[in-house]
Amino acid sequence: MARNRMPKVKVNEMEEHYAQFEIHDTDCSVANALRRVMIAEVVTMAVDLVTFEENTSVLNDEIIAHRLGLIPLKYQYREGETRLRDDIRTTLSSERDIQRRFRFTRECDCDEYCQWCAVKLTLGVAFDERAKHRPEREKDLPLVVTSNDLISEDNDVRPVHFETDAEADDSVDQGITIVKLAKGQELRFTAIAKLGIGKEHSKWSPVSKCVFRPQPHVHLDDDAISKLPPALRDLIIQACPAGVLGYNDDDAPPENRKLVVKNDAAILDFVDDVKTLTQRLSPTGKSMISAFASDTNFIFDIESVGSIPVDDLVLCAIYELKRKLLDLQLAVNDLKDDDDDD
Amino acid sequence: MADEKSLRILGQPDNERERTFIFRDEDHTLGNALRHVLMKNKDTDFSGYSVPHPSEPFMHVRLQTTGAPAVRIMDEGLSNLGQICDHLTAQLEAQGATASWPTGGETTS
Repeated sequence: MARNRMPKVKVNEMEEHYAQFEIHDTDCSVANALRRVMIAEVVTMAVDLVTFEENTSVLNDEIIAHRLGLIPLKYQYREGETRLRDDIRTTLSSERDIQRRFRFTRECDCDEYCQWCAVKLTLGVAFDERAKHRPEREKDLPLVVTSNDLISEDNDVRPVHFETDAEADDSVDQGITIVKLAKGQELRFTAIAKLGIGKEHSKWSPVSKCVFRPQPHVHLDDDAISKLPPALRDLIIQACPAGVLGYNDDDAPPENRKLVVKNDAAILDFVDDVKTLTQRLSPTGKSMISAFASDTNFIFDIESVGSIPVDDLVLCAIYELKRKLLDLQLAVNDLKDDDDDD
Repeated sequence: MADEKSLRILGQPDNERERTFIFRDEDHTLGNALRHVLMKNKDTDFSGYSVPHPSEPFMHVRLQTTGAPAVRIMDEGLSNLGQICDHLTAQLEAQGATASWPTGGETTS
């Protein structure tokens, strides 16, 4: 039987749009599988089909359709109001899973699209019409058409305008800019959003950043460093860019300060420089720092585009991986029986 | 697409220690992780994976064992990786990822 490591997770930060967590006692391959699933195989919804009724803006239909695809659409389960799919036999996943509400269009038995596999969004903005309601001195300024003008016909799915309320307050616009209209111009279309994954088109990818790096193990020879004169200790700090190495207490007298790593993520890139320098400074020629990348511990940094909150996203990715494995296990077992018959 | 099998197994019927598994619609995501888990199995003699052509949807895993049937070791490998997934889910939930997500099973009929 295989000896497998069971990973441990340590969550450092978990917000709606950003997460940092560490996975200990695992391997690069498992961490990378998780990263790749998060980028390319988590199911989300994005605009896929646009029918233009009127477009007299400066951007052509294709460009606008592309821009619409990139606007994150968020599915939100509403207790008591959202009607989930009734064709799911076992309900093992959370209601927050978008696949409990929608099907892939290719798996749906409707002709083109329906409420179970697509969401219709409409937009109709005419400069002249809007100008009537604008203050006199702004009447001739270009009109910004944003994601806020996009009306979803499904209350479970809506476009995401800003990452946070603070960002919304800072912005001059009402949402994500689609196009700007000048006098006499008009934009009117119907957009159909469908389920998809990042592997097919990156507009369905739920993350804007999804990286992992090995955890660094750093050891500083405090005894040797404390024997150096303060000026030489400053020199060690200056061997790295600002903020990588520093003192534990900047206000303490120089003799009592301890050299510490301030930026764990960056130290691995500069450890060779520090090593060479300390070897020269040391009377015995011994290096005063050692740092190496861990083979088993990894730090993940994830930012969501807003279509799925990060906590759901990570769990959803693991679930997706698990689902794949179960499917394949069934396939292997099917073929195993054939194998035995031969 | 529906009639295309998600998995094919190549090998000599008289030698069940050696098999090549051809996965459809899989890539490095599963390939490398699976290869790694298989290599940790003490019955594995050799395990490697490749994506023969980037524009074809196939991923190959070659598995040779020291005696056990290769298909059984592959089954173990898949379930071991599944256990790691379950374990990660449990760990994340215990750490405050609030959603209650499943630990297994297929949802669509």
